[in-house]
Amino acid sequence: MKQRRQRMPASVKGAVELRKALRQFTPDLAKGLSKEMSQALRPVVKNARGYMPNENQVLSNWGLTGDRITAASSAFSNAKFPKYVPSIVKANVGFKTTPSKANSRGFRSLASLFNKTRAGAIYEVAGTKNPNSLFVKNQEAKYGSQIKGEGARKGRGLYRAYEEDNGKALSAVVKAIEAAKSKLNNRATVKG
Amino acid sequence: MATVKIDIASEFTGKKAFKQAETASDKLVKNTKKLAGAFGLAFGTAQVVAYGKAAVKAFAEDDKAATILSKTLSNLGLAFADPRIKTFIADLEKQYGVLDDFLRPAYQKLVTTTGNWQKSQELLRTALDLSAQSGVDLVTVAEDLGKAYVGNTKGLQKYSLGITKAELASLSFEDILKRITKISAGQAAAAADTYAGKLDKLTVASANLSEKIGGALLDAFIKFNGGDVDKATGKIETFGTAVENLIRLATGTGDKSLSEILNGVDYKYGFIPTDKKPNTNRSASPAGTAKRLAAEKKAQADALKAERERVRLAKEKAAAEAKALKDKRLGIAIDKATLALGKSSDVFDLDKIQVAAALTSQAEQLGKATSAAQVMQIANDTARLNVKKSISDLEDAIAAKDEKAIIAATAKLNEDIKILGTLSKQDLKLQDIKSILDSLKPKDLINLQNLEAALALLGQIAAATAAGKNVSGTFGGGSVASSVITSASVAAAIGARTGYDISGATDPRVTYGGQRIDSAGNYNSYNAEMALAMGAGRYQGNQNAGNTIIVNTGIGDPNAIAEAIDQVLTDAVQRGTLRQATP
Repeated sequence: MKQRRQRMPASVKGAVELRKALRQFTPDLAKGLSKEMSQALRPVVKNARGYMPNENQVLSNWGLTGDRITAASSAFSNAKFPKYVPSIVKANVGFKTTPSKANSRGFRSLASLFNKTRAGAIYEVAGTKNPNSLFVKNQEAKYGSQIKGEGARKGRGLYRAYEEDNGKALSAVVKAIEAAKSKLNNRATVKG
Repeated sequence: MATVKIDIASEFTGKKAFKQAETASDKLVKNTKKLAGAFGLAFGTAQVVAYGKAAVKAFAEDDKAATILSKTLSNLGLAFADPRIKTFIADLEKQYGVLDDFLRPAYQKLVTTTGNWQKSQELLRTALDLSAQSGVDLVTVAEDLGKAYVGNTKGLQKYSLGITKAELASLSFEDILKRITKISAGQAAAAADTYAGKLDKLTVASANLSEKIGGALLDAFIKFNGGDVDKATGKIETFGTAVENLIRLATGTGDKSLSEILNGVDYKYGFIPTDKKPNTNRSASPAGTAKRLAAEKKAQADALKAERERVRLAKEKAAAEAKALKDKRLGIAIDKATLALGKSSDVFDLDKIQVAAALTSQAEQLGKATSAAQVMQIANDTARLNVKKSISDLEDAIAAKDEKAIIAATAKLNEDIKILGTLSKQDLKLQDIKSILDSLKPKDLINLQNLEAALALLGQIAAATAAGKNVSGTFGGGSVASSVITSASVAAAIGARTGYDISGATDPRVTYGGQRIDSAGNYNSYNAEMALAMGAGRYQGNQNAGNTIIVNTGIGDPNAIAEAIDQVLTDAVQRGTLRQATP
């Protein structure tokens, strides 16, 4: 069986409880932490949005040029192949600084980057598994793009931006959490 | 829909991780969970390896005990009952929280003794109750019950059953068992229902888990190493490391992926179930069933035969004990008779007879002694005889081994020797002689009763004389009384007298037999001191004058009267109450 390279996420202990404690006892630190995390993640999102194509950078029939948006042609439609609407796709590339629910393996992320729309996801990962499809060939031939990342995290938009960030966002988030923890401990320590 | 998402800094919070792990690695991860529960999540490689070794050891010991019991049953012809006994022990283990490590040896002792597997089950239950009641370990209790079953009840004394040693020896085993059941019934169940008992049940469950894991580990590793046990034990450490990493992965505390963990160990043999099939000892074929039934019947017949033999032996033992008791009683009676014979032999003991005769002779001689030298000789002889008698008594006491009698006889002998020594040195003391003579004096000769009889006789003589003849005599002052002597006349005569000397032969204080008449006219017994005083007074008062006693008698034989007077005077002289004045 071919071994799939799997990169384990950075694991932090007690961060969720720390966030709760910050909200409950030091709201200012909680806001400050969110702000620092946002500042760390925002450049990645900005770059990712920049990597997402405009209307004239996707195959002609994929976009909505000259068409009205209907239920069938909507980017959120599950019925058909979703149309690529740049504004919507870019607007749904973003970040979140609140802890997520536990996934099926029991892990909760403290912050996350996302590319929510179906059309955006298609552009993100198209060709990572099957690079010889007609859609991928045409897209690459006409407009070109770069796929960056490792393992399951290979893509043209968000994954590319995260890869190019070289872990700076992650380090900044962890550093912000550690800093908040230290501040909280300092405040909680009774000084005689 | 593919989700494009990047998680920044995740935290493991548990919950669904185990489920995913189970799905991913099937039985491997299931067993990991069990081990994780058993070990605790904080255990490291050393603990895992140690547990693995302990589990293998526990399994080996358990397997050995089970094999020994099975072999014992087979030797006793009870192999057909092996599955039922195993089930019975397993049920007891769960019910009472007692490890099979104790139940198997206990049952083995019982079944070896009784030869009856069903009876042994009953006794094992009783042993459990008695063990819970007394606090003595189960194996010891079972051993004691087994011994009691064959008649040796000594071991049951420590359970405080309220049965005396003699009762234990005389009661039948069934009666003893009833007593034990009455005292200890339900104790094991009650103990198992306590908090400590529940903990014991947990211990049993944990021990069984260890044994099962140990068995699986041993089989797996032996198979993994081509049947080489030594190599297999070396692999246990590798396995322990893998299990530890699995636990850490499952709990999110490890830094290795599942594939990395499993790359290091050939785990597929680690959890293969054992190839052993449960030994039901039951054959699917009719021939096998018939064989088993035949064995069962034979075992039952053997057990019945053994039971009968035991009853027969018990009866023989009871009869032998009864005979021994009878013999013992006879022996006691003989001893008593011998003792009585010993006592009666004293009657015919020549030495004692001779001593007694000699003492009697000395008493007679004393009555005839007329001088101090004779009295001294009698006292010496008597003291020697007493010493001889005391020696004989001491010898008897020593022979009887009677400590008190020996001490008393020794004291008596010392006293007699002391007296003899005193006499031998001529250091004669009046009190010592007196005590010796008093001991010889026949007490029945002189006592109040005899004296009263003598006085009564004298009274009769006086009455007869007064009735027949006149009695005349002189009373003090030389006057002559022609009347009968009465108490009033005596009192008047004494009152008229002056001084203390005897006035003459008519003085009322001198009369027959040395008796004395007081001022009231009453007869009194002889008093040596009084007589001595009277004599001294007489000598003082009439030192140069003789005393004349005139006796007037009635008509009669003069010679008889003279002899009577002579006799009276002789007696008085001998008693010292009348002495002739020394010129």
